[in-house]
Amino acid sequence: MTARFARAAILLLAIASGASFAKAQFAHPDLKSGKIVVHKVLILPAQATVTKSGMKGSEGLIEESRIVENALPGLISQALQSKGCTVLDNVLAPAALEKDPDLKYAVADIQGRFETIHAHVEQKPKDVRTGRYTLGDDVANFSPGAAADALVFTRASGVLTTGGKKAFAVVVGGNASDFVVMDITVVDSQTGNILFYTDAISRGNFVGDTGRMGKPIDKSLKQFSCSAPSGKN
Amino acid sequence: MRLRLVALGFSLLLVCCGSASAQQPPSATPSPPPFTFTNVDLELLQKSNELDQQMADRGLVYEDAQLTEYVSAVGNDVLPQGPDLENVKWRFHVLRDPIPNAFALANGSIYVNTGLLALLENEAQLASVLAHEETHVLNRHAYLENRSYRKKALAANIFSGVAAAGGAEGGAGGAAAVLVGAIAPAILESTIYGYSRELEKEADLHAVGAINDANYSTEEMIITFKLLDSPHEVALSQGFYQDHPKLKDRIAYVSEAVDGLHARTPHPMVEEERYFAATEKAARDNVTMDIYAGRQRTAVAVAQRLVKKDPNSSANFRALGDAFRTLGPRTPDPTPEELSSRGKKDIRKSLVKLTPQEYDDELMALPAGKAAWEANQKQSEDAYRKALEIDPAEAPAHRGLGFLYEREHQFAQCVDEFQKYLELSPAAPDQAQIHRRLDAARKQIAANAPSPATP
Repeated sequence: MTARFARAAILLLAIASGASFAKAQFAHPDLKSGKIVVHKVLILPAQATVTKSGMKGSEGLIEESRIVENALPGLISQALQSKGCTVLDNVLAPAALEKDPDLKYAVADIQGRFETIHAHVEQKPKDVRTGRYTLGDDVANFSPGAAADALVFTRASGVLTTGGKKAFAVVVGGNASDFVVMDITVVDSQTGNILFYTDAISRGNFVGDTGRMGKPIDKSLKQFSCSAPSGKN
Repeated sequence: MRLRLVALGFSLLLVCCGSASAQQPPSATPSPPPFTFTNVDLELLQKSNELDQQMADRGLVYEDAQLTEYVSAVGNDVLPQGPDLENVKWRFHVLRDPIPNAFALANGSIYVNTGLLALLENEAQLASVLAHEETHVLNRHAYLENRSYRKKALAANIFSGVAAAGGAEGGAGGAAAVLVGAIAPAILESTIYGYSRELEKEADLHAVGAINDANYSTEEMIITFKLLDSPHEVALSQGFYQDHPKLKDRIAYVSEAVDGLHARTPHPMVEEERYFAATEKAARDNVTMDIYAGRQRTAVAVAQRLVKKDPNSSANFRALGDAFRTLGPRTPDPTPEELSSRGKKDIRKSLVKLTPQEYDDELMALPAGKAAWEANQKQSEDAYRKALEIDPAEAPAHRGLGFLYEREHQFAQCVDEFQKYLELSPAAPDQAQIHRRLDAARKQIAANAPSPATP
């Protein structure tokens, strides 16, 4: 609980500072030591929650959430490619999922499995460094991931504040700004071990200008790298 | 994230299932109260439509045309005759979710979870759930609750603003006030999950009339509540059904309503066999969903019922084997210690602190956990063997046995079963996983082999 509170406080300070930045990065010992090397990655559909915070309360914004969800895989893909990774594109594109209900189920199931462990990782991300977390080796049954060394899960949670609330905050002295917190988790596609975890914050109108999320994502993956693909890779 | 998804304003929309109206006598053809749409209502309607899309896009909808058709037919049976409602299009969906629940959206979309279908025993019970949800739509409960919520939210927002102002004056309190302001809406939302008890009661009582008019047995609605009241899991949080009027109260007032009704025929419909035939596959799939959701006890209960109803299905026995195998160090039913408030507190604490695997390991370290595991392994093995007796080509039973023997460190048998699985399922999607485990088992066999005697 204390750790959660500390993280929440850091987040609030970050938002208040107006900066977009990456937070700590946590790597599995085998990834850090080079025992595990990731060449190819498969990015799973991002899951984002965008909420409108206004004088009439909070309200989920489904369309805006969708915009963020659609933008994140591309931004993460760019960041990973710049680190030498081969990103398996289009395998889980919306069109592909639409055509194949079994694939859609498989994605929903693996996202659900990830949620269970994600709650623990969020709570104690440092333990990624001790290799504590795993989704279990049945992630290998996720057939779209067979050609990849790692699966990338993305979660984002954003707040868009209405003009009224911003004005109200100015008057009463509170803080009301737009921001999105994104976390990225890299999972070994065969063993299910969590290899890397990081999160980043982007401040400003991240829905109108989704590109602004790119920089903090890039920074948040600073300590992650794919070695140069060997052979035909 | 699932919680966040719900919090994504859907709490306004997920007008969860549950109840009906005391003042209004049950009637199958109620004239819906006049309703004038405001902008706020139209926003909610739009969000309901978007939510439908979101559910489908995220693979949450169970796409089985026959089952959907069946649920729709039952739902349509209990719909009152009358003119179409403005901005309502009746659509029935099954959700891939092991939690026993159902809910209605303002636009007329009604969702029933696979977890509820697996729990119910017959068509009359399903009809009562659907009639209940339909009442929420017919009587515009979602819109009414949404309007009420917005008023509450506005009040809370002003409160948090005042708190922030106080914090600014007091110095360091500002950040804490912002935190409270950020949390308050969520707390507020949590108070409106589900409808008010009055609206739930309204839906319950209307459902009694609707199912009676459709010639379903109204007694089955009471049995539905009893089924909901006998959970197999230790309830660690206040679930939706606990949020409703106490189930005992619901049973009491629905029983009273049932007593006051005259059945349309001497033998109202129950339709157990038809229901089972339509839902058997979904219930079996739900066993796997239960297992992944950490609801292994429910998985065992559902699989036991499947086996009882259809003892000639190898797939049902295989599901039972899977359920017992993954039950691990737990007893099939919660122990009195687990159900005590102290026990619940301890479990809650452990589940927050430990990953599922770590929690299982902790239980296994206890003598009771080990004893439960041994008993469950035996039950699992028996179920898998029965599946193979019915159908020797039931490949997943070999796979299950492989995992079972691997855990028991019986590596030779483990290798044998995994090999049979791969022979029977050459295109299995989990080949890589099984091959890896086969290699590991073979290494163990080699390591355990007695070294040749030295001359």
